[in-house]
Amino acid sequence: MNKIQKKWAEIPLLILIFWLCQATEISLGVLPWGLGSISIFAAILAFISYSRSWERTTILAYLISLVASATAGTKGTLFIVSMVWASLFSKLLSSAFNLEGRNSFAVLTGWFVLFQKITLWILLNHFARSPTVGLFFVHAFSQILINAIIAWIIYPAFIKWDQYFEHVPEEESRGLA
Amino acid sequence: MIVIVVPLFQRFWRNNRALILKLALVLSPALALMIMKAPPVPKLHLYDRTQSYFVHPIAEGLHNARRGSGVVFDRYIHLVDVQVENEKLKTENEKLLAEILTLQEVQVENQRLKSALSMPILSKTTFVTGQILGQDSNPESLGFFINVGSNNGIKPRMPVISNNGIVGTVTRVYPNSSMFLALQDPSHAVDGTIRRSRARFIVQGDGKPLVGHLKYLDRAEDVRVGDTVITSGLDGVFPKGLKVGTIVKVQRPKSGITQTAEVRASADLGQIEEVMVITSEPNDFIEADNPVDPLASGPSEDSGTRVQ
Repeated sequence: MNKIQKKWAEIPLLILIFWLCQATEISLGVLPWGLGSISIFAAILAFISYSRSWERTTILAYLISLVASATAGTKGTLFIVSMVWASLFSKLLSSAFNLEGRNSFAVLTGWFVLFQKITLWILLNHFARSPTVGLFFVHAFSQILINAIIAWIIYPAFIKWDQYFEHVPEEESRGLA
Repeated sequence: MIVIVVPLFQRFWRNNRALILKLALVLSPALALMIMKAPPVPKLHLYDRTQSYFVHPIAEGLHNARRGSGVVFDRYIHLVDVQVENEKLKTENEKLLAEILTLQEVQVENQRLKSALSMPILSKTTFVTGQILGQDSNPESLGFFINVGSNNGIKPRMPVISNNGIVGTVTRVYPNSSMFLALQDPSHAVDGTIRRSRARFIVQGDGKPLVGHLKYLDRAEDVRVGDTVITSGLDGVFPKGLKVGTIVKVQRPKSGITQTAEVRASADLGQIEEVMVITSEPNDFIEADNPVDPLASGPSEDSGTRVQ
């Protein structure tokens, strides 16, 4: 595939992957004791904030959160806002610290999930009804652990994806590398 | 004045453009939050509807495959002990045959009593049965996807029940699937009453998979551990008299005008595979709750019209 073909193939392929991931997470990926599901979206958004510019991070965070909200039971707006804010927070972290490699990415994803959970809990508390603080800690802890593991496993795939579709890292594109 | 302000503003913009843009990006979710007020009955985006055609059938297939593989695995494991078990079962069979005869008598009696009571709750309701195809991905909510949607007559806010009692309320409806929020979800509430003492309150979900709590329960009301909680029918969603759960804990604070209690839902979310969505309008429940002559409405065996 040449560069133009790759550019046109990337978005439909991404949507297909997202849908397959969503079908899997609501049917097979459900965790016991009401701990939620094994989801890939936190790792994706953490990677976007890790590798893309501020502008792209914001736009992609809105779009991907919209996709992810289809299988989330909470009010769509609150879920999207919490995901976008968590992406921007991750962007701030990844800009402030020199993150590199798999382990750093897993830690960044953990921070993403923690910030997203805190934001969502506050928003739910204010605009709807949130679970108890105890349950929040249980959910947050389990989700941080699971998403950090997913991020650690999937990191090479993200890098390969970027290489195949010829995405230039943020620093290089701005001539900072 | 303008001659001074405009160049100042231009200089400020030139010097701080990146910072202003980043600030705008960070604040954009807050703006979105203010603009996008969620309607009481959520409307589906075009994207939601499109993805439901793809995601939900695959999820249903995967869900069934998981159940199927579980059954095959269980059967294989059981084969190992099947001979020993067979001998044991033969002796038990003799005992059970004797018990069946007694139970048949009880069943006949039970049917007779049911007919006498005439079960007005579901006598005029229609419902659609649906199979659970998945659970929502967010642990902050307890949402479940089922394989019936607007093409089967499902609408938002319709009550979802199982043979053990109420399960939740439909929140999102896709053409061939829908999502309901479980009774235990923190944003779910039902108007309930104690069957024994008729005390009224709101049953509010706690986010825990099994338990909810009672809100606005008058301190003077007689509520005890073990009491059965049923729907009052006054919320305009659930018909009157459906089982919600059982009281497991009562807390009466030293001061205040209310008391609190915990209720364990009768429908266990972990065990449910099939649910029924009541498609009748709330007005039908009111008519059904007040039959002219309860004994004239006939036996309850054929109560409820199974659409699917």
